[in-house]
Amino acid sequence: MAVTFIASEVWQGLRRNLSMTLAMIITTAVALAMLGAGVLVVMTASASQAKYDYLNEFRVYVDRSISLEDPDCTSACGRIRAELEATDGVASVEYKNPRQTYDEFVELFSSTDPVLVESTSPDALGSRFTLTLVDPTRAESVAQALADVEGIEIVQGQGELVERVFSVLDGVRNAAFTIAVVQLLATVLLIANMTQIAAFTRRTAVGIMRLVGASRWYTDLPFILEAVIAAVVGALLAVGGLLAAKGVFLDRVLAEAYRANLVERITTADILLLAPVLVAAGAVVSALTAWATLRITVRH
Amino acid sequence: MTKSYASSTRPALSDVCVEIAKGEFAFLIGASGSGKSTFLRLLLREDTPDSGTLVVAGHDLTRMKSSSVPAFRRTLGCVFQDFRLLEGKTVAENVAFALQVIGKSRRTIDKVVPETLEMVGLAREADRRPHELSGGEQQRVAIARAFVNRPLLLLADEPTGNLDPETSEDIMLLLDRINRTGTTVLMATHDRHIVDRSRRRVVELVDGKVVRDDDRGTYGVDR
Repeated sequence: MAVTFIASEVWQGLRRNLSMTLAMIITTAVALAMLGAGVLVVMTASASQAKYDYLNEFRVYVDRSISLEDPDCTSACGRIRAELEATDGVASVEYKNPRQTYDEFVELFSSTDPVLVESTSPDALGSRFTLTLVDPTRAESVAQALADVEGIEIVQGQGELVERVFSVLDGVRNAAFTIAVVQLLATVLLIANMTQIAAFTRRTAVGIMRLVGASRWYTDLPFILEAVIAAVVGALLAVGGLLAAKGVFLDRVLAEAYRANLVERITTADILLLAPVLVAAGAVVSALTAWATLRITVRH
Repeated sequence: MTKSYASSTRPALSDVCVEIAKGEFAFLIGASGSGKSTFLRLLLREDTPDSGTLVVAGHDLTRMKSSSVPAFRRTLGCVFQDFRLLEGKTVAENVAFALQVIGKSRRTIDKVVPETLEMVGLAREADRRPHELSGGEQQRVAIARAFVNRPLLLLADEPTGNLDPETSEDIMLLLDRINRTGTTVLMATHDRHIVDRSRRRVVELVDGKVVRDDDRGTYGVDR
């Protein structure tokens, strides 16, 4: 009885307030689509970050004479290693002796430039350290700290480039989130307004319910369910919108970047994984807003 | 009991002491602003007195928790001057509404609603909408809705205020019938004619004070 009765109240309420219901569905859809887009950008950014880690590395070339004297890196080279390891901001130090760097060189150029490989003797190259940094954005200060170390030559990583790429992604994410927050605020106000209007248009019914002893839940539930239904429909539209944006627009714009493996691919699965989160967020926010509005505006 | 509102310097009800026995029929009379509405609001637990005690159907309303209010209100019935019917619903649906919202089963509703409509003489109007009925008939629907859950106390706030004398008489007969089933009836009214003809208990309020409480009273002179 209760379920049938509340269901019919909700249905009538949504129909009677049709324009307001539609407005709420659209606003919720836009807000949640923005929120979803923001989350997807964050997911993509952090997944793509791994691709660029090598650009953050510092390569430290040891003087050829030291390299050849100390290939096992125990005396003069060992002291350099100790200094590198002790430098602030250095996360790890990896050592390659002259033999290893030569092997690497051969592997890299044997197919593209065999003449160069032919003309280079195995002792032509020195040993090399590869440093990874704790925080790639602080590359400059690490470079300064290493400037005084004798017997080495430093080739700095491409941290700056990576930084720029990610600052663009961060900007996109922040913009998406800002719009999402503003939209969410508008959605909350709209839900509050819709609930108030619904409660006002049905004030006689609510008054009667109150007087004949309906519990607060019985009185409030139809209004809360109306808001939740509108929000859930909005959330589903948002998911549909994200899928459409991916298919129609994003995949085409990012096709080159995907092919070059510059950016991690945003997949349909990513969006579908996000869908329950968006639906739940819409349902919870709308239920809480409607509930709070009724507590504040409808006397019991 | 005493009740004041911040908006007025004079208390809405001042040291009011009234006891209405179970099964009694009483009129509450007085000019506009005399405190009748406040009195009914307190009985409905829409508000609480500032001091004193108020016991309705065995419940001490001054100590009642808000969570117990809905259960308490199920022992009351209310009728108003403006009927307060739901236009989108039929006569039967309006009466059933009072039972639906307190979670009664369909079986109970299907049994009790026709019985109550029969009692108020509207069995044949069950499927009509309120706007298709006369004022008197609409008030009968409102009374049916108030009585359908068999309340211990029926509160009627100017139930004949919008009706012609003849129709008012019919409504009085109906309230009388309800009273004879054992339901206590308290009726706030301005209708001198009805009070004088009924010769029932009359409690008169003037400026929030009880100035008269007669067992078989009349509306009184010069009022």
